[in-house]
Amino acid sequence: MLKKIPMRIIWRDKSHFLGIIFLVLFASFGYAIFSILITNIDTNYKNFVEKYNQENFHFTTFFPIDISSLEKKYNVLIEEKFTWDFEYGDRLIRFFNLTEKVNKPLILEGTLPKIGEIAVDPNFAKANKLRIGDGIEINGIKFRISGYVALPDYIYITKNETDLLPDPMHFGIGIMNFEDMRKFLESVAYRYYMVRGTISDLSSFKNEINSKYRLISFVEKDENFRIIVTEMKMKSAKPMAFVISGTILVISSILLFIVLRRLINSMHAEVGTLYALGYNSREIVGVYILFPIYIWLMGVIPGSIIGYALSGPFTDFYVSFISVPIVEKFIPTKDLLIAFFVPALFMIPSGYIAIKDLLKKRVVEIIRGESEKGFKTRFRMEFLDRFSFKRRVMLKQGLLHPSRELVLIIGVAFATLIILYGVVAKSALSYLVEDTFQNTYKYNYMYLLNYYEKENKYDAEPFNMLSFYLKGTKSKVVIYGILKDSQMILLKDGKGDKINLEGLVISQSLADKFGLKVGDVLNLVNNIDGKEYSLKVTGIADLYVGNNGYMSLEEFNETFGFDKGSFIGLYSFHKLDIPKEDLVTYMSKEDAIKVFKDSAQSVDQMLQVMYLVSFFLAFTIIYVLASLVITENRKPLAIFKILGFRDGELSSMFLGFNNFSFIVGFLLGIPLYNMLISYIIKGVLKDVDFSFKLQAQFNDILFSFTYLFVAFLFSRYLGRRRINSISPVVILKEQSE
Amino acid sequence: MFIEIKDLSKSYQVGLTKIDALKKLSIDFEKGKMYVILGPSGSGKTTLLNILGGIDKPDEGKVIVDGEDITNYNDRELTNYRRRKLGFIFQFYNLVNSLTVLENVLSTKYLSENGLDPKEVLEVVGMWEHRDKFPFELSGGEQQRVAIARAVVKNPSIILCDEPTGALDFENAKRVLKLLEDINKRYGTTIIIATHNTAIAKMSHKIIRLRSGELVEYQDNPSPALAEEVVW
Repeated sequence: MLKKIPMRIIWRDKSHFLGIIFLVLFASFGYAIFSILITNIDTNYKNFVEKYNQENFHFTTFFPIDISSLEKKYNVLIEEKFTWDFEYGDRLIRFFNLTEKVNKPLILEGTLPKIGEIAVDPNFAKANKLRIGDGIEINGIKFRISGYVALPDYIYITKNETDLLPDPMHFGIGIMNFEDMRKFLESVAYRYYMVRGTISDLSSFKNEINSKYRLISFVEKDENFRIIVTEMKMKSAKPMAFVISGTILVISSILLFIVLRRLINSMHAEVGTLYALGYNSREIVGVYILFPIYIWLMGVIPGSIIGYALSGPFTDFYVSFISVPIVEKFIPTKDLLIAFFVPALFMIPSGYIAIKDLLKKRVVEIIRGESEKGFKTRFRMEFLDRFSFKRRVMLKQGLLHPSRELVLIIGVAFATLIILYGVVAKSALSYLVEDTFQNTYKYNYMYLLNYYEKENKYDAEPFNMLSFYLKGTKSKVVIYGILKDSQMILLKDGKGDKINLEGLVISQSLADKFGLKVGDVLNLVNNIDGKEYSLKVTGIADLYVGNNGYMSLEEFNETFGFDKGSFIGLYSFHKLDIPKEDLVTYMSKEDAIKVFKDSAQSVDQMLQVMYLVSFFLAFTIIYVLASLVITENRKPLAIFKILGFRDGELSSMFLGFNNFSFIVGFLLGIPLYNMLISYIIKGVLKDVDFSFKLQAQFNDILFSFTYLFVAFLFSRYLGRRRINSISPVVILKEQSE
Repeated sequence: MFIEIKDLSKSYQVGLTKIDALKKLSIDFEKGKMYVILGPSGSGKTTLLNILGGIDKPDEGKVIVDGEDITNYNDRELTNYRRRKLGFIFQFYNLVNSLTVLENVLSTKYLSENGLDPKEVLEVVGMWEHRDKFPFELSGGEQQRVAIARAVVKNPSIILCDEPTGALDFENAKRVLKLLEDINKRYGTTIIIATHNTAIAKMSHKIIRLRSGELVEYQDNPSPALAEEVVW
């Protein structure tokens, strides 16, 4: 019979129990969905790169290499690969020939292409509504789509290495037989060699290649943007997922502890009466322990089920950004059990402690509720006497219940961290487009030649470039030599003043990642020939794309031993008519901006999730605590109402302390966010060639504050409505009964 | 007339049964007088006090206080009415447990622009020395004296008392009655006491008897007894 009590009380006080149930639901949902996602992409990724022989590195040479002798000598697998870009409309498919030894294609659906057939990546196919069996005309020749393909060296499918996010609407990859590809290849195709296997002395291998075949470029797996971005995203997603769901779980457990404690204390007379009637402590605990058990079950059952049900679409959504082929679906039983049982580990003991605390006392004390006495005497708080009555009540409310305010502070700080992360990422992206591409990179086209040139035949600005490692790391740094009075690259400092190009000017993103400042010396190792250089940083440009450095072309050529006036690329305002065979690559700024803008749309979707999570978190915590305060103060609130206090006054007296806690929580969230960002920049993004301007600006902070303040006001509004609904007559009747 | 009650009706639904707490009740109250409303449980005393106090609304009828019909008031206006004009004293004191004696008194002083000095009022009720104690540290009689101080400090024109001695022993009850008498004389406050204790009626200027929500007697008492003389 007594076992009916908990469910009835949960139903009666549903407003604050519902909040906790939602928090538990959300925590287990978050944990379940993220763990299924991470396990699936992690395991599928590992299986994929192993089974399909992902390369250890690839390189390009001027002359063809002798594959079999090198394979024998170094005991590795080497395979030649050709690539060719097919442009139609505003779309581009990058075709590769079928390989058999290294970076073998994985057919996700359909079959490997035979002659006259192609296979394309599924994201491009989906975005462009291309289905297996469809025909596609390539330069006048009809091909049939035989299947969907994934390539181990093109997991993160971006057109350029500098693109932040894939743009499957406009760019995709495909494979075809070499016989077919040959029809499109002109005199010199873009060809490179992929190597699978470990070479202990990589520099001597490079030297041999360079001396025999003239090495043009050399990219190790660790610096291959299209491979490591996926690995990094997985690496950073795991702790993020666990931290977010774990924190929500801990917050909801503390909240439950607080609510249960108050609830059980408020039922002291009933508990005492049960004791007096002859129920023993175990029987009473057996009744009241049902509170945390019910709440746990009501939260985790739907949480895990929804998490499991949505993990499929969520994985598909996530995979569309990082392109890990999901061949096999895994259910991480261990993680699902964690999502289910960990909340109980927090909640049941906290409920148990709350009950046991009350039961420690003598029966008569429990019935009288004397536990209040000592508690309140301790908190006489004479120092508050100097304040007005209203303020005194408000301060007492907060100071008497520090644990509640602490939960509110932690919750708001955490919500601030989430929202700031989303808001700053969004504004960083628009900064990247608006500032970097409009104000720094003035050119419209960039061409990279496949040989060094001295004579500039075009109406364009020459530049030179070399790729280095930062000594002792695997981080790539690209140094550009540009005209001293370049009209194409306008470097400015943080204040917006033009930088005079003397010595080495580095990008802000490079400075952020390695904590560099003006005057520091950069020790660089040439990527190709291994020569070392020490260059002093003379300036830092307000540039967030690229681990880049800039020197004047003269100084560049002199420092790195090029002939005077040598250059490898051209910046231009208009399209140049350069034969394709002379080019390694070319890039139009318009395309780059388009990719960034498309990327911003994808970021918008993630941002919406972050908005929702932070709003929900802030709102629920504030509301649960407010309704707890209102419930336990029903009688004083009714008395104050009878005495003539207005609802607004009562709201600020009883809930006003939350204003401070909210602001403290928000202010605490900012340094927390900065710590997270510095970890991301220095840790996760260290090896990547781009960076965001991720430090929160005033506007980002203002926006985040306003947004969370709306959540705060909304919960306060509901709290006030609850105060309004308290009927003095009902409370007086309850009392006389 | 200071307070006019006209054809006041109020009923409650309890389960399937409809209970008529007040049936077309009409009474007048003069300013500065002390009234005692007598009647057994369920006679409508508390309902009448609640409506007079603006914490409950009638189904029908009018309550005109100082020329204004409070039954037309919305919630905000009723709050203002309680704030300006009323003091309440309950059977179970209803002090705020987390506030000290002085703070409980200050809680209503805060609401009034022409309130009395809390120290003076606490001295009148003999509780100034206990001003820093919490309600749970006081006896029932002491708590009721604080409740009286709380009601008086904002200098209301009406004090409504619902069984003010109901939870007290004889000695403490007498002290409370004496205080109410003093306040009525000292501040000219209209005091309306609802009780089932007929002995208290002797000290009032007017006696009202209710039964089942209807007025059965309205009696003048030209020579009220002093509180000390009241016994039961």
